[in-house]
Amino acid sequence: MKHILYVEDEREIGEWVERDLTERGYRVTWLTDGNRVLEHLNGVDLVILDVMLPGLDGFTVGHRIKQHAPDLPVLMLSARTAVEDKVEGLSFADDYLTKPFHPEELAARVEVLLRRFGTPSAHPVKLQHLDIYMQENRVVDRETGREVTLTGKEYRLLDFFLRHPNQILTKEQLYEAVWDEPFAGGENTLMVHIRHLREKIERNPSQPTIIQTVRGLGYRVKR
Amino acid sequence: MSRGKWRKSLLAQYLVVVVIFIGLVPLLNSAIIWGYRQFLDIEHGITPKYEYREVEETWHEAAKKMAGDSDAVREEKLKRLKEKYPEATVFWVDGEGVTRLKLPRDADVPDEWTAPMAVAFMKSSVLADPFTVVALLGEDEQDGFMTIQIPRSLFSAPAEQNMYSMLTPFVAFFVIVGLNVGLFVFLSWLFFSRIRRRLTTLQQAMREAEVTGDFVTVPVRKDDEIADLERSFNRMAEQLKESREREQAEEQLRRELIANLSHDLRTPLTVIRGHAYSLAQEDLSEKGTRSLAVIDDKIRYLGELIDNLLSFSLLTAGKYPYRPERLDVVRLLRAITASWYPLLERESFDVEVKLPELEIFWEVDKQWFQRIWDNLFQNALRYAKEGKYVGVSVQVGNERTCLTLEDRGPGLENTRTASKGAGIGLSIVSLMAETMDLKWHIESSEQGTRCFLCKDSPYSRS
Repeated sequence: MKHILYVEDEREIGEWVERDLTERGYRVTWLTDGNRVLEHLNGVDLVILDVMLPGLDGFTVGHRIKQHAPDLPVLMLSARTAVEDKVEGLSFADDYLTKPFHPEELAARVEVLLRRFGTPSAHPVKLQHLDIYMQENRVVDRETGREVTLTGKEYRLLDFFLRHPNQILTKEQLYEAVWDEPFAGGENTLMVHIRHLREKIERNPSQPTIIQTVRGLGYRVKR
Repeated sequence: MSRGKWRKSLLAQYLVVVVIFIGLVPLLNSAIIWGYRQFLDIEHGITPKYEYREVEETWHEAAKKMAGDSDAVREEKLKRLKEKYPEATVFWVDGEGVTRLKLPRDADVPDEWTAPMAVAFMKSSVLADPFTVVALLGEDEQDGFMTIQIPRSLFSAPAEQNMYSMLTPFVAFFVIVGLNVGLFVFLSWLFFSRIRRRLTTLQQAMREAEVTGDFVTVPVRKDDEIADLERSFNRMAEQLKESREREQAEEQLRRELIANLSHDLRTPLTVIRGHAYSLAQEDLSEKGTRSLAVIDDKIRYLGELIDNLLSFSLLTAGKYPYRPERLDVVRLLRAITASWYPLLERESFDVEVKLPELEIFWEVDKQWFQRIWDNLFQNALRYAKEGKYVGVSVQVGNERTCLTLEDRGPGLENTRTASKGAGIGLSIVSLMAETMDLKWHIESSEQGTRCFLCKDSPYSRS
């Protein structure tokens, strides 16, 4: 079970967020101020942080958390003017939600962040007819039982898709994430790799069901 | 102006300069004359050493005095006179015509004189060179005569014509006038350059204020008209500094107000939303579920409205952080559209993307650009649901390039409720576009609405 650290000073909001997240199967530790956040970071998978806190303000707390645990995802909640907070917040926060937010949206973003930052579990991720063992870099076709061998880049592509499920990813975003360099005419390279990947994992590469093409925008993997 | 004040005025100060000048004039002119004399002396050695009249008088005077002297005394006196006129030939002849003394000793003077010789001597000496003065000795003038001869080159000639003496009056005139004027100009220049320095200091203080916004005061010495100016300037600088500090304090206040207001509005809304959601988890009738959906939608709308209102107030105050950079707007727009796609898809929109495989670079602030398109997509999602269509495209022309968002809603006119809401959102779009030097306009009809964001110039390929 994933452990979420939730820092919110408003009781009325805090109560139902805690309840909601707990009902969704998370373990929630709810703090009403940011002073002792660092003490509670052990074993936490995600931090939800309200910007306006008594005492230490949210940004300072956020910075501290990031310094202490750079790989821990931080989701910022803000009740202030989106802009300034957004600009400053995005400098360290991994995602950002303004109030009033819909509980389902919060949950969705939590899930996305956990997926993105999460350490791969031993259990395989199920993607249609595939079992993907993230930790071992292994992909198995459940229906045929055969193992699919992917190159390093192909695996990274697939991994990136899985960390952003249902999101449409543009060619620039994909290229820069996988090749780790600015997208300057890397289009062909990307297309070639996607084609190879499809040939390996799709039932019918010419009519892909896993990696969707969204015309004019990019690609998407639906879960 | 009071008398005391007048004494310190610029006019009084300048009068001091004039008085100093007048005081210096005699000094100056004596110096000129002395200098000129020296000049002639050094350069041409033309200063006359002796004067005819003076020599003549001296000689006759000396002769008279020697009237009853003994020979030895006479010799002494003549020797002293010779010392006085070192270039002269001096001799005296006694009553018998015998030359008793001649200096220098080897002078060409006969030792004995006859009357004809004396007369011949006298005649040949007239107007000849050397200049000769003969003085008769003795009270009855029977005791002989004494003679002094000095080369004429050592004398001044009243009518002597040489180049320098002819020029002298003219030269002297111009030199004297020139130097006097020069002195006056110099003193005046000193006076004005001090004034100028004070004015420059003042001007520099103003320039500093203009450039850095720092209001510095200038030091005030003296008590003249310029000092008045300096004092006025200092007063003004103080006032401006105060007003700027006040403005900053007000700004700070406004920011806090906005932050607090935003928080105070959003918090209860969040609570309501949370509870509405809880309700939705309960078993409800269809009517109930629908009501809750409306509540949820309105809450979301209120959130956006608050956001827009506060952003708008920041924008119009010029306090919305703005960091422009050169960005590929096609790429940006594609990413923004990609992020809205899932939402649009859920509402059964058909999303048509016609973005070219080009890079188009504009100077924009990334957040602002995002905000503009978020507002436009939001409007399409909210008000053009019936059309179930959204189209994103780029038109590249010779004079301008436009990014376009198209929907098939009922058009702006026909949007019944909350056109004000759309209004604020569009005002923000308008203001932001203008700040980034982009042109934006809307074409709307019953068939749909098209929003254009354009830049006037040929596109620049990367």
